[in-house]
Amino acid sequence: MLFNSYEFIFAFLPLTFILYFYLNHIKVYKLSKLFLVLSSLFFYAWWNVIYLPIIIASMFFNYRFGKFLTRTDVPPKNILLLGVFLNLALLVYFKYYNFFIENFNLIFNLNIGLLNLALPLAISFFTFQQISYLVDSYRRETKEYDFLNYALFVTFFPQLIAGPIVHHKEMMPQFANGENRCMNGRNISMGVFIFSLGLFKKVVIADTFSTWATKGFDVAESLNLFAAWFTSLSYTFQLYFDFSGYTDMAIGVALLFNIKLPINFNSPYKALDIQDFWRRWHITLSRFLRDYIYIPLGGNRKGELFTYANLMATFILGGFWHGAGWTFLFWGFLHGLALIIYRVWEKYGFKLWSWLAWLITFNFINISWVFFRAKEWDDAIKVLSSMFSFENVVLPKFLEAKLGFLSNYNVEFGFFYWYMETIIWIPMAFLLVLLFKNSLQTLDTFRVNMRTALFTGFVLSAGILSMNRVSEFLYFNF
Amino acid sequence: MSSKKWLSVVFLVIFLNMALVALVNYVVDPFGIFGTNILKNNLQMNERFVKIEYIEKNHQKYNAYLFGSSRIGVVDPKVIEKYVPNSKFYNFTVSSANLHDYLMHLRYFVEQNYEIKTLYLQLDIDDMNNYGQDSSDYLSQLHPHVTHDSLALFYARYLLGFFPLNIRTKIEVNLAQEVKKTYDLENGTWELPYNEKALREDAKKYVEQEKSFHFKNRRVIYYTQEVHNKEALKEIVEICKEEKIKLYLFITPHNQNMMDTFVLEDYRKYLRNISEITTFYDFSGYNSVTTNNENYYEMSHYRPHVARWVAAYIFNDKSVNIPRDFGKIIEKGDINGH
Repeated sequence: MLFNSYEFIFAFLPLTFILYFYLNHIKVYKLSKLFLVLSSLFFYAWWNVIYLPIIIASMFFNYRFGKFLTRTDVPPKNILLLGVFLNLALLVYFKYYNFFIENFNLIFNLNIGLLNLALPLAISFFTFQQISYLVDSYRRETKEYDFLNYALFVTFFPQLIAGPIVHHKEMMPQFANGENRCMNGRNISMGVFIFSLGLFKKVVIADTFSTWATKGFDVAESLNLFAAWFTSLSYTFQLYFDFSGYTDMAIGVALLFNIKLPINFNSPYKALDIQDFWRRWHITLSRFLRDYIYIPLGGNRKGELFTYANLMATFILGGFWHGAGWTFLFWGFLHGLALIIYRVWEKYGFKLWSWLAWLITFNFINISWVFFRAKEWDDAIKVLSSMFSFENVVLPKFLEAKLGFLSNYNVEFGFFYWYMETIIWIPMAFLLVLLFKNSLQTLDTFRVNMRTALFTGFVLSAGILSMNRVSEFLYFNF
Repeated sequence: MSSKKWLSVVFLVIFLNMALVALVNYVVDPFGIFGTNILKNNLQMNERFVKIEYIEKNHQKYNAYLFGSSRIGVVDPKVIEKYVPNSKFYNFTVSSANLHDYLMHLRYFVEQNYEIKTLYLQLDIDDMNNYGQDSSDYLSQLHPHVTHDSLALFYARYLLGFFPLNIRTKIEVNLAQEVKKTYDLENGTWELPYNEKALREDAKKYVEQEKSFHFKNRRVIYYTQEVHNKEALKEIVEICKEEKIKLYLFITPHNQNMMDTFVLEDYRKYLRNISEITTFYDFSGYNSVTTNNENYYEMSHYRPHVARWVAAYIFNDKSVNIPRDFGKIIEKGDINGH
């Protein structure tokens, strides 16, 4: 079920909310939690019920392993490794098997058959969450909770499909806390407010940009200089508004149930360097990669060269987590490389003007997204080569009268076909991401007053009324 | 302010906004669903809904149908009636139609016992990579009677959707002097009087100015819906056999620029699959009609005289001067020579 669907907003969410608090009201607390788990599984199975046994089996298996690791006086490392291995095996089988076989076939000229399996929804997210649980159980950093709390930690529907990637330490105490069983007016208001912002970001802004990104990447045979830049920027903004919109909605829905999800975005396009960007973009993924890959690899404790190697390995794996393809690996490699360059730069104490630092950082991010978005290398090359080619410059026809002399320099004047409207939307998106507070900063200063009520009402109406073009969230694919 | 009051204000604002949108949707009626008719000119409407509404009331006037996407919409039923004795055709063209639409509508007509003696069915690009319609495409939703869904819910979706572009377009069309597209619900056809006039006056200039003729297209249309479309066509042929409906099936003459979007190997497979099921006429490919842009309004829609050539070829009318390389009959199971 999508957050931006009628069935979610008008049926599933209100019914789940009312029944959950009713069960709490009549003091059947276990039943209310069980109801929330079952509702979350129903929410998950809405797409395709065949995925359901996988998540249930994974949950049981990890809970048992975690319990075993906690209860043994000296937890055997082999058990932990086996647990992590089995989680990764599940992920590799469903997500990466075809990628490895395709490349194996290519290198050794073989013809091993591919698996025609649909990728179980959210498998990357729930696998990561549970690996962190196992590792922390081994480290004795988990408390012993019952299975119901654990099941809720894994399946809680606001964060189940595309994160934020939550940590048991921040979630399980909240589920166990008796104070969260009653309706909280302020939380409900804040939840509705932040959900409205997220819905608006997704259906009004991101879905509008997606039209131009799709045309430029997937449909157009060739692009001129401006079309290529509008295409890449459209995707850059689509991805941000889509994913941060989803996260806002998740945070908002969770708040209705008195659960606080961690922050996942903090105005990433305001970043002045690449390290800053990764502290602001998909924060919970960065946190996972740092705690469970970078630091266990040695982090920055083994000298400069090892630090760089660890950074590179972490980011390549991060790229691969997003998708089984060389373009994703290359995207991870680019970010790893950028971080290494930044560290060297910082080490020597070089400084840049803020505006130049922002310009370089933003453009690097925008260009690297091209590899992230392109379905094939050819599509990435098509967009990138046009972004930096001055042989194919087309200006709008109405400028011909004033700038006609430029035709002597190979500049053409023609129609701005499908990307005409980006001329208005892209500057507006820049204003929104650079000059305005992000949704969570707005939430911090939120007041229950007439102004926020009117604002929420209008934003939510615009979102609901724009839901007629139902579309999935980009991060559902990862 | 209490949270309760805050929520009440939020819901009140939502309610008022929705009521306003519903009112505008009802008055402007951008898809022609409510039949409000305050703004009379339609550039586009949900033909699937409007035509079923019309046929439910007028089916006794017709005994034969033209099925196809918008491309068949320029075919005057009289052109076909001339060749089929005692026939009264209705042009059931619907925009972006594919075999799912044809099958659903044929099933519905048979279920309702509407008289059908002849079916003139056009297949085209939409039958390669499409089957059914996206639920967010409000121009193309099937009538709830055809899908056996709730009529009330159907109306609610059209009342509470936000369609700024469609509303703006309909208002603009009604404010403008020129009528760009006209529909004739009595025979089911549409016309582009403005484009037709411009083409008659100066075809070369028209072609030069029409952007779609000058796009450089990529071969991106794959035969992705092979299984569904094959099954649907089989069922249509079987229904026609059972109900004793004479079926004329043809592939539309796609403009060269549209042909450039097909992955050719997939296109051949598409034709081969049709020939395994039934005999058909093929007007597609690169021929003297499809490579002459003056035969088209844009790269998607041919002009009425092309429709007359198609019919003349199918019904073997020697009195019509058809370009020699235009059209080929493919007997069932005999695609190899094509």
